[in-house]
Amino acid sequence: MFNFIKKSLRNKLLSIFIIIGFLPFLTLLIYTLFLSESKIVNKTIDEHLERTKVVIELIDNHLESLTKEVKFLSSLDLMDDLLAEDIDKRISRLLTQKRDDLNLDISFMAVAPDSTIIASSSRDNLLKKYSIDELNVKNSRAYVKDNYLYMHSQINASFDKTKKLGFLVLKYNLKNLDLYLTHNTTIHSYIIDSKNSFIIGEDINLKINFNNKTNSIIDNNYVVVYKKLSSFLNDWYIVYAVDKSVALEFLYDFISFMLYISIVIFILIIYMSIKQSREIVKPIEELTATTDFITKTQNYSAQLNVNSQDEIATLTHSFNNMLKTTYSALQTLEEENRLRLKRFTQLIEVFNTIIQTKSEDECINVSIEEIKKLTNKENLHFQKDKNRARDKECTNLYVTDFENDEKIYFGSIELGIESFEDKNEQDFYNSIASMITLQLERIRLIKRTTSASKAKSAFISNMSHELRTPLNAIIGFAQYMIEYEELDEDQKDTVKNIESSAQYLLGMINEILDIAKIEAGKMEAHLENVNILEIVQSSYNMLSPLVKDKKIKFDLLSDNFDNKIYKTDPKMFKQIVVNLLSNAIKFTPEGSILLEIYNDEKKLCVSVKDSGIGISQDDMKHLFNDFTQLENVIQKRHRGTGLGLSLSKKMANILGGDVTLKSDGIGHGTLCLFCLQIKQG
Amino acid sequence: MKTVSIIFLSTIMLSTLSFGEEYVVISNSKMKDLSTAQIKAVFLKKIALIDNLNAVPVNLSALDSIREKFENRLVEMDFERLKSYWTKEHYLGKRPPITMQSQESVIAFVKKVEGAIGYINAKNLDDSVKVLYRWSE
Repeated sequence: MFNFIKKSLRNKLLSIFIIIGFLPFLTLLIYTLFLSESKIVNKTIDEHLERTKVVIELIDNHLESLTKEVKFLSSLDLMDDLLAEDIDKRISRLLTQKRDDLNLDISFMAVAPDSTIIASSSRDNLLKKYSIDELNVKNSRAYVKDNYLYMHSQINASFDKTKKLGFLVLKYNLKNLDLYLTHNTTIHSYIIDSKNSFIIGEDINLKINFNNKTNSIIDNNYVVVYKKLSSFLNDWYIVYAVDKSVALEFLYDFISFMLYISIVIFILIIYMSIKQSREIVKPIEELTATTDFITKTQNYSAQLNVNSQDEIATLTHSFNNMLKTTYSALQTLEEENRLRLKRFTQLIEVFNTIIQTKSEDECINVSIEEIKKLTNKENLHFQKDKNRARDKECTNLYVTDFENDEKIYFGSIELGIESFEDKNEQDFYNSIASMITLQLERIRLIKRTTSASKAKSAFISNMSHELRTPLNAIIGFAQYMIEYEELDEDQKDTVKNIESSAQYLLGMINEILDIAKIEAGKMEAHLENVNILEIVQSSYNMLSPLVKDKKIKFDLLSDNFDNKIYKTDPKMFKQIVVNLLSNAIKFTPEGSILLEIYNDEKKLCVSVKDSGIGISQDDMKHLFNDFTQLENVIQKRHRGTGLGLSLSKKMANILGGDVTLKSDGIGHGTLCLFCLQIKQG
Repeated sequence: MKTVSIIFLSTIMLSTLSFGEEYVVISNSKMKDLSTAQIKAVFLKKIALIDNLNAVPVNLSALDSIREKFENRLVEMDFERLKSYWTKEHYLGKRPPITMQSQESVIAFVKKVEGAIGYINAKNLDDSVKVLYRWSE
């Protein structure tokens, strides 16, 4: 539930702010809501108890003064008139006067011992009988009857104190006490007897059980305080009822005020909290954003801006410092990397340079120069002596002796340093050393192979030349024998066989010689201005007799050929065309052969298309190897050295062109194409 | 005419009678006869008890003419002298006699109180009281 708080610093701050801001306020609110009511009620009760006390005292004083009045009046000499039955109305006048002075709902009565009312403040009850029983109760000065308070005092004769003339009675309407009660809209007060049966003042219909020990009641509408009256009315209670709403009006006002204020304050606190927390968290968010930005863009040069001077500013400063350090570290790293790459490319360049050297001395010299350049060391030198001074570090070079298949010491490069700085340096020099070694071996190997190859070619060409001489002698003698000797037919046939075999052998030797020449690099093109079409035509003419024995349609097409003078070697050109044609004738038992010459863009092409036996795709790649004839039935049927195509291709290469073969498979014929880049004469 | 003359005569008679009016000193019927000196002593509160009876003198109000006549005749002191007398007596704890407003009251009082002695115009006299002394002027 509180995860959203835990996850966000801002929410944490926000909740803390709200709690801190609102807690005292809430406490105050709770206090006013729950505690202050009882306090205020208690205070009201106390206040009104105090007030009742005062009122009771006032009532006491009032009644006491009245009794005193009664006593005083009863002691007047004038009361002797009672004996004269107040014929002069002096007592009545006095009593009336007194009543008027007091201005209360009261009446004074002077009662004779025979209970006749002799004098009274009101005429109505004159000469009436007064029930005198209560008056004779000893030690009583007053009694309550029918909601009237009767205060009485005995009247004695002024001339004879023992003579009892009667009583002076004050009939006091209890309603008079209303004067002492407070009546307004908020406070209701009344005096009530203990039986709740008679009420002076305002009746608010409240049943009070006066047997309770407390002297206050808090009911839904009123806060009620009551107190027993003293002296004459000691069974009576004075009750003060305060409207609860009025008593607590201030409180309720305050509470509603607090509630309104609390809403305002709450909004204010939330607003301030959000603002403050946002402000506090803002730099952190900026920090995060910058970090994200850096992570995304790898741009370590970014910096944060801080306007504050608090801890977050410190954090940001250190973050900026970290960024700066990281940035510079990265820069250094990049620089180093670049340096390393440069070193690497330099090394590769060194290797490249070393590889291009052709002799051992050059290799060693170049290597040393390059190492000097690379390491800025001047005191490098090559040492062939195995027993050199041992006090300096050097890299030893060993080369393979191919004949004995073993490593032999070649020499060492003195590095002019006491010791290697680290293993990397040693490895570096070792790799250069092995590179030099490799190059030395390569040079040796190349030398060896080329010399071996040259020896072979020389051997073959010499051999061929040596073989041709006796062969020419054999051919010459055989021809001589056929022409000039008188031989019978059998002998002639035999000699012809000898001659043709020798011719074949000579052709083969010639071809081998050509191959050897090409391999030895002795075959060169002798360029002349030639008429290509003528060469092709003569080749066609030369080979067309071979077709006569077969059922072959042999055609030459030169419609698409721009007949100009071109520069090429006519012998080689012709030999290639003848070779291709004779191959086609050789492998085409019947059908057609089309010789076509045409210009293809800047190339000149001669194509020989036959409907012969064709070549399979697998065999196609062996075709141009030396001495290869396809291993199939053809071999049995056709004689040949197998050098034809290979030779043609090699010669075409020398002329700056190429020979290619295309076939749709066995039995589908072959297309042989000879194309060369040719220059106009 | 006759009646008129009778009324006239009676009026004259009455007027002559009033001129020579009669006053009485009365007491409760239980009171024994008292001499004028005794009456004077009672009214000056020099005698309190008469035959175990508490003597209560009753005056009429201060400016009453009967009182003046009574005091001149029986107490033998004029108003001023009585005043100074009672001032003197006051300090001795004695108070002047009680006063009644009217002769009716006096009669009612005397009737009620056993030792009471008062004075009234003789024409107001009735049988319920005893006459102690009678004079006219």
